[in-house]
Amino acid sequence: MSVVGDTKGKTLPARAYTSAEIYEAEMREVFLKAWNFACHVSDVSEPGRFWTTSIAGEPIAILRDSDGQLRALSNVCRHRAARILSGEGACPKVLRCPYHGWTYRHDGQLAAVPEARGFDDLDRDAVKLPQFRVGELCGLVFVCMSEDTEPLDTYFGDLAEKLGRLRLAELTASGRHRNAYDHNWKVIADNYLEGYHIPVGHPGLLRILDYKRYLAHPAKHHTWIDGPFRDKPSKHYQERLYQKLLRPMPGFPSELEGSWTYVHLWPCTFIDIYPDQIDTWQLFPDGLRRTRTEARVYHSGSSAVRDRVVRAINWRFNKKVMDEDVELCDQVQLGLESRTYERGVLNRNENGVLAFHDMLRAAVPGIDEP
Amino acid sequence: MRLIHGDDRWLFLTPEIEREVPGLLAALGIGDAEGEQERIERLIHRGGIDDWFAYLRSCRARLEGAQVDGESELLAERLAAVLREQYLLVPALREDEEHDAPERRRLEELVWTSR
Repeated sequence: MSVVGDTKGKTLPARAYTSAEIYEAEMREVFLKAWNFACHVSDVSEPGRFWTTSIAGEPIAILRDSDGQLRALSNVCRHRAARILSGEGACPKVLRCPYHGWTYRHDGQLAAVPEARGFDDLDRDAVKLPQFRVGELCGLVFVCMSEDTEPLDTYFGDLAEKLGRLRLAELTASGRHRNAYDHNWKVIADNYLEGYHIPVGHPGLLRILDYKRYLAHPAKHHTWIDGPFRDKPSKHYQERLYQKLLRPMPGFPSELEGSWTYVHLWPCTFIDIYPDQIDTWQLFPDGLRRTRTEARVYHSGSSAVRDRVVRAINWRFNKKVMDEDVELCDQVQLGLESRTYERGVLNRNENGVLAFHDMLRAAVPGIDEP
Repeated sequence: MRLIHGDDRWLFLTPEIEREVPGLLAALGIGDAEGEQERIERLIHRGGIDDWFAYLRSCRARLEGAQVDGESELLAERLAAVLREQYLLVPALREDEEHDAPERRRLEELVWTSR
C-alpha cells in the first residue's frame, strides 16, 4: 500500500514541521538533491562576476569564469573554512579568501598561498574548491549538489516553455530584499501554494482576482497557479488605480496580461508573475523553526512615471498581503506545536499543497509518520 | 493600503455563492447565469454585507417559487444547502439580524424536505 494512497487528501503530520530529525532528512534528501534557484543570469553575465548563495546551509559561489563558463564552487576556504566571497560583485582574476589570503583560480584550483613555505605538508595541486552542477533555464541560474539528479533541462518538465515566454533574461534585476521568519520553511511554502485562505486572509484580493478561476496546476517539480483578474474595477481607489494604469512590460505574453500568476519551483523558490514586474522569492531554511527569505524584482527598466506608480502600488499591495500571511503563518507554526493536532485535511482548492506534500512523502523517508 | 478594511471581512462569504449559485439558478429556471454572475460581481465590488444577504434572500424566494421535480430536486437541495451555509458562517461576523434566524430555518426546511 502506498504512503501517498493512505494519506490522500491529507496534510503531512505536525511532526514533519517540528522534528529535528525530519529537518535534517529534508536538507539531505530534498535540498542537496534538487536543482535550487541561485540567481538571475545578469548577476553572472561577464567573466569574473559572481553571486553567493547557499543550499541547505552550504555556502556556494556562482561565477562566470574567464572562458565564459558558468561555475558553482564551494564558497569555503580549504585552509580554515572562512567564507571566500560575500554578497555579489566581481573577482576578475582570482578568488581571494579574506581571512589569510589563500587565492583560487576561477575553476577552484588553489593558485597561491601567502607564506607558502610555512606549511610542512601542503600539496597545492591537490587543493581545489569542490564544484557543483550549475545551469541556466530561461534566464535563471540553478545549482544542484548531487551528481545523480536528472539534468536541469528535463528536471522542471515543461517549465521552460511556460517561463520562456517571459524573456526573463532581458529584464533588469533588483538587489536582494532579505527577511527572516520564525516558521518552518514548509509552513511558508504551504501558505503560498493554496488560495483557499484568500477569501478570509486577504478579502481585498477577491476584488482584484477572480477567485473561482484561481487554480493551481501541479506539474513536474513545479506548480503553476493562475490568478486571473476580474473584469470590473475595484471600489477602492488604489486598487482601481492599479487596474487602470497597469500596462504590461514590453514583450509580456498577452495570455498572461489579465492575471497575476504564481509559480512554485521545488523545493522552495517562488516566482510571482505580474504584468508590470516579476519577483522571485526564495526560502532558505535556517533551522527547524527559522526561515530566511530573499526576494528579487525584475522589470523592464522603464522609468516612466506611470510604470513606477504601478510598480509602487503593486509592491504596497503585495507587501500588505505578505504581512497578513506572516501573521497567519505565525499562528500555524504555534498550532503545529500543539499536542492535540496531528494532521489536517485538504480542500480541492489546496491541491498545490497536496502535490507538494506528496513530493515530500516521496523524497523524505519517515516524513509521513505521525 | 489596507487590504482588510473592517467592512470587507464579509467578502469571505462570496466564493462558494459565486461559483455555484448562478449555474444552479439557471438550471432550475429561476435565473440567468450570466446576469446572476454580474449581479454577484457587482456586490463584491460595490456592495456590503446587507446587500449580500438581501441577494441571498432573493435567491431563497426564487427557490421557493421554483417548479422542482424529480430531476431538479438535487439541484434545489444543493442551492438550499449552499445558501444555508452562509447563515452558519455569518455569526463569525455579526450578531443575528432580524432576517437571519427565519431564513436559516426556512433553508433548513428546504434542505430537509427535498431529501
